[in-house]
Amino acid sequence: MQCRNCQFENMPGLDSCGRCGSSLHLATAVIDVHPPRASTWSKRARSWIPFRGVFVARDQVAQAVQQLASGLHASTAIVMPPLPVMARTIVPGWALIYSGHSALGWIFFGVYLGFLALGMLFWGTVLGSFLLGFAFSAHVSATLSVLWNSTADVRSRLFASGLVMFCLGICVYGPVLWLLGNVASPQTVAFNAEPLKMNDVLLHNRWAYLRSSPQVGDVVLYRNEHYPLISRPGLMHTVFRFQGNHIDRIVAGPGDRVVLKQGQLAVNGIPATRLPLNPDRLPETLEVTVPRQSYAIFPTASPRPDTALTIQQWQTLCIIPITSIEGTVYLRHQPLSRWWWIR
Amino acid sequence: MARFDRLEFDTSDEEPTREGVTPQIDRDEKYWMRLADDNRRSGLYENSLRFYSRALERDKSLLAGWLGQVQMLIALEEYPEAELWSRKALELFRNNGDLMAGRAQALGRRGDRKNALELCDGSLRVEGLSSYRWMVRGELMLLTSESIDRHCFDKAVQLDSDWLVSLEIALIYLHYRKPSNAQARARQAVEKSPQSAYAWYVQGVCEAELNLIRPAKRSFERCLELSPRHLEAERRLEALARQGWSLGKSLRRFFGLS
Repeated sequence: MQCRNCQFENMPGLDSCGRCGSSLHLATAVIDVHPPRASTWSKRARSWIPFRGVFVARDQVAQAVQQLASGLHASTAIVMPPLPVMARTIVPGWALIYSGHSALGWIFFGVYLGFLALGMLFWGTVLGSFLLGFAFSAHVSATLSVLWNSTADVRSRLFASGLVMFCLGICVYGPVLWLLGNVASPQTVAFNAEPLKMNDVLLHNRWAYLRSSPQVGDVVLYRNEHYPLISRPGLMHTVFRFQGNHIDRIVAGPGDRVVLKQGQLAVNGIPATRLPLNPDRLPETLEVTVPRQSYAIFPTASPRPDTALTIQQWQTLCIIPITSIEGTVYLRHQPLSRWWWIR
Repeated sequence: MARFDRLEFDTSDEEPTREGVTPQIDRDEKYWMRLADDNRRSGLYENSLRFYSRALERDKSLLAGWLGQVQMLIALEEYPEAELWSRKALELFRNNGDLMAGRAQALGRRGDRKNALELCDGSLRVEGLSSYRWMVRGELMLLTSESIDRHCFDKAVQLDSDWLVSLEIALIYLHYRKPSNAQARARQAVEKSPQSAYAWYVQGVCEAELNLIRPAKRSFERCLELSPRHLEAERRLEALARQGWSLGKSLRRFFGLS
């Protein structure tokens, strides 16, 4: 029976060609003979994607990694694994699973995930920092177990450890921490001021207003630069510093008229539905018009001097320029017993 | 059922001949392969692809059918699909040089030069000679900007003097924006087969790319004489007619730059 591929004459009764291995029963085999086709939109998309550049970049990266690998091997006893294995070290344990050490890979992955989950649960606390550090160590260990071989000496292992920590820090954890530091930055409360308590950890999103403006009702972290001058009868003037970061709700926006009468808050004549965090600390009467590029935020969840503030001091303190608003506060993360969204 | 009572069937095949015997139309794989080849020579790649598939439905061991499908997918600019299909065909026809060349061509068109060159080298090492392998080699030399593409294409023409080989080389040059080289090959194809409308059409395209308006018009008109329903030739002729006189073009022509 002649093979249709290489024209080799095979003995009758054989299923595949003795020379090239092709099937001898292709004529009647059940195979789909209709090729896949590209859709119109995918053809259009392909004209935009620079595939050539992607392949050129891939080849250059592979070449650079190869040069690095040969350089490393020359100076130390570290053997760089192939690129597919190296690429998988970004997830702890994956490279080990890919290389055939499934059990060890899964153990590393499980340990890493455990520490990471606990670390994120206690994010913003000292315990959370330790747990995240352990997770980082698990990741470094998983990567090192792929890199070094049993014949590597102490110097090579130390070098490899430093290199892996540096690379993981720069390439993985640095960017992740930077991202987390901007969208979930932990703020520890340093005083008791209802509804906030000392050592509460609140999560703060610095990027909340990158593309939009603050809205009435948002709970925000803002900077207050004011120094109200408080007089006490019979004593010298006292300067009370309000300077620093505060957390409270935006009550009114630019151009709004805020009126407080007998403790009832109204914005543009309409009773306000979104009140400050601690409405009990609002003054009895107040009238203020919010200027442009500013918002009305009453510092009700902040430490207060013993003496009551005057109406003029309130009028000054509650007007916050937009540039002083540093993002939203959206979650009370610690303590876990009071974990909840801030709305 | 009542709604199927008034169906009409085409009974022209069943009309009896003078001798009273109904002729059987032989539509085996050879028929479909011939149809696919004819459509390919007319530039109708979609139809050609469809007919290659029909031929393979009859006989899946037709290597030429699988290869034709890969080549048509490349001609239709569906490179990832061509690469996938050539890989599938290579599972059935292991180490087949032509299929390896087809896969190399698809990879080269996608930009993956490294793997394309490796595959092309492999295809040339495999036993047997074919013009297609040398054509793909020439294309990859173009891609890597090496100057031996002409030698590879000449080798391909030497192995198979069919006019379609010269024409497909012209199409390769056009793909890589080398219209002057393409025009030389297209002219060879026209000389070998002056009755082929598609060869005249491709020559016209090359001449239009080189801004040779009158020769391009003549080529398209000749294409339309041979194939009056050639829509693409009509469209290009209209586009050329709309191109008016311009000082720049005239100066270029005067100084022999076009």
